[in-house]
Amino acid sequence: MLYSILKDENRYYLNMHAECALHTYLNGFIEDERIKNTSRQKQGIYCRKINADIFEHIYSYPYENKSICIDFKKIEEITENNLVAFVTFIKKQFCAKGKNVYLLNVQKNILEKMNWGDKFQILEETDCIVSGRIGRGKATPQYDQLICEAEEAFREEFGRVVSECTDELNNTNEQHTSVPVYLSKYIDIKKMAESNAGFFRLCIYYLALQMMDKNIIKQECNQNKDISLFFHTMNGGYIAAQLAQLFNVDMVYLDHLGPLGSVHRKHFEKSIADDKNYIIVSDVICLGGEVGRARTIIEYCGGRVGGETCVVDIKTVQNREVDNRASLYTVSKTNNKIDYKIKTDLCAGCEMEGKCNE
Amino acid sequence: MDNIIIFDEKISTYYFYNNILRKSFEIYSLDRETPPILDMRKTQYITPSAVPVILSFGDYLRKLYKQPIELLIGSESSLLNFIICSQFKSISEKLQIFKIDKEIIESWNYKELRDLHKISYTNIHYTDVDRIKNPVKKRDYIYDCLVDKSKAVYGKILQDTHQLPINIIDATISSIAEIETNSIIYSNSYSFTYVASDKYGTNISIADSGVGFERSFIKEKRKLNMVEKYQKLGPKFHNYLVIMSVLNYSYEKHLKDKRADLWTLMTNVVKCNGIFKIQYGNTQVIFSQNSCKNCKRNEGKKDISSCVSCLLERQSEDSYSPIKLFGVGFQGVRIEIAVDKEED
Repeated sequence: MLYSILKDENRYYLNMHAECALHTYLNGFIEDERIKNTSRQKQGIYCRKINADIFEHIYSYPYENKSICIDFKKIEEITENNLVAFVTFIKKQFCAKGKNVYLLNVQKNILEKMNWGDKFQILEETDCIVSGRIGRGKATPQYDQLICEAEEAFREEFGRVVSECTDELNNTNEQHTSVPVYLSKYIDIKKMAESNAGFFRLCIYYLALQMMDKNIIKQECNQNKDISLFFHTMNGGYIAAQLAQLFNVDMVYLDHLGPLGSVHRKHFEKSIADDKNYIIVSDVICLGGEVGRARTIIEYCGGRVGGETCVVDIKTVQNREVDNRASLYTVSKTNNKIDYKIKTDLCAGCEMEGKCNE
Repeated sequence: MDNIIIFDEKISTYYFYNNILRKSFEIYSLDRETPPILDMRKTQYITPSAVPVILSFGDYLRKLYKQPIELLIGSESSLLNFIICSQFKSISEKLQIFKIDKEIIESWNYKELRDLHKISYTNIHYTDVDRIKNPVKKRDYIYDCLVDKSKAVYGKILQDTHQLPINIIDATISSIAEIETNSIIYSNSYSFTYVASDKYGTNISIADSGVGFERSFIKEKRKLNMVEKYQKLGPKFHNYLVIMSVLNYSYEKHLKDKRADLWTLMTNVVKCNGIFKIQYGNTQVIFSQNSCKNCKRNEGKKDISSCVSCLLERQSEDSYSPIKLFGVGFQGVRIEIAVDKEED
């Protein structure tokens, strides 16, 4: 399957690096002890090569009659025979039907081997990277516009999925299990993962990129040796497992830190090592109570918290910035399409009642 | 005992094909039940190109006699170090090819070799590969995986001496992946790879003892074009024409779809001042930089007939002949590549 393919009314968007990162796994050819570690450093988010099996997924996708925009960012290697087959496919599937093909962020040495000649019209060019179009028609979107539209396609789809997976809470007067407030909605991450596992994996990929952008995870695989992902809930475990695969790092978990509010274990030092960095992985960070407890335990045991990561972050206070927190979707006063509300008993009779979300 | 084959102090492929293979054939002709004992107690050195050939020969004998083959090694020989460090011993044990005296091995205080100087092998079946039915897709998938493997195994060490130019390192890595790919697709046997690199250049040798080109082509319903075209040459050159048919098939695919495989590999090796030797059965064909680097005979041609004729014209009984016909062969395909470092 293709994880990264998205579409809007104009075209498909495909992210080659996301496909490589999400498809890589150890195959039978790399069973040699000498190379297992080296090969892992080139897998997951650190993968830079598109292999034949990825192309197979691209060829077998049921495309509608639309143009396509393919992003090759971070891709450094494609073998010649795969390029020959890829170009043949693009010509047959898109060019022959009069559809435009946009190839973004292609390394020049790879583009040369594609052999498009004059058919490739350059949109953007740097020393070794080039973006362009193959196709007819005078009006063509520029590079920046294509990037924005691809990002928008993801944002829109993600926003739709979040809305779909947010349920009304029947009894909004019942206290939240973890913190003493009343919540109006429940963002069901489990439902999100179950209803569209492929798209959820793409979300994890983008979350992983965010973590790298914020330097929570390093740019080189071998710099992450002292990092472990820490989770304390099932959903957090599901996300952490996929992040661990993308980054090739370990995981640690402590159960019953969450809604039950009780810790059953005495000897954390078995799980948490001195001087190691832990990244707390959660599904939704609301008021930060559970994450705060996790942080306290990690630091009490001598570990360091290198960052926090979650799929949805509820920004309860304006201008609140948490250091080293990466999230994919922020619910805030200015972005609250799901109409998320947090109430306390003090809200009744408050002069702001009913105006909080204005 | 009549079933002992005594190896010389130095074993090269030429020595192996002319002496060892002949002797083993004699043993088999006299007694088809008792496997030979390979006696390397005198041997001090095996040339890099002969290492995989001996392993695949052992694999062939194992299949023939349905049991591991006894291999005798001298207790104080420098070969012993190589046998341990190159993984010759561990691979032999894992695949049950040779029986080597454990006491001698365990008592030897060995000295590690560079990682590069270790033998690798490919399996007969890979679950990932078996699910792919289309032969071209299967080929591309295997090649991709093996390029990754070759880079991981050989890339760093080929670069560590800074002796080889980058284009030769790339050619070396893709050569290994290309030949191993063919081996997995065609041979249905284990294939063994050995790469030796020093400041003068690199030697690659890859050998299998599988069904070979001819049966693979028949199975895939492909034509052996050169065998049909040069029928009049008779059985003596049959294996030569099979090799050339395989290269021709690759050449035609290159012309039609710009696909790179065995033919492109051969021309790339020759362009890098290398020697490309391909052996099938009792026949070895040699493409060298001297004769083939600037050759334009095939330009604009639909097939490699001119290449077939050229090699035949230069064929002789001496050791410089581009076509070597050994008295005895054993099944499988062997490829040797030698790439010298270019003079600065």
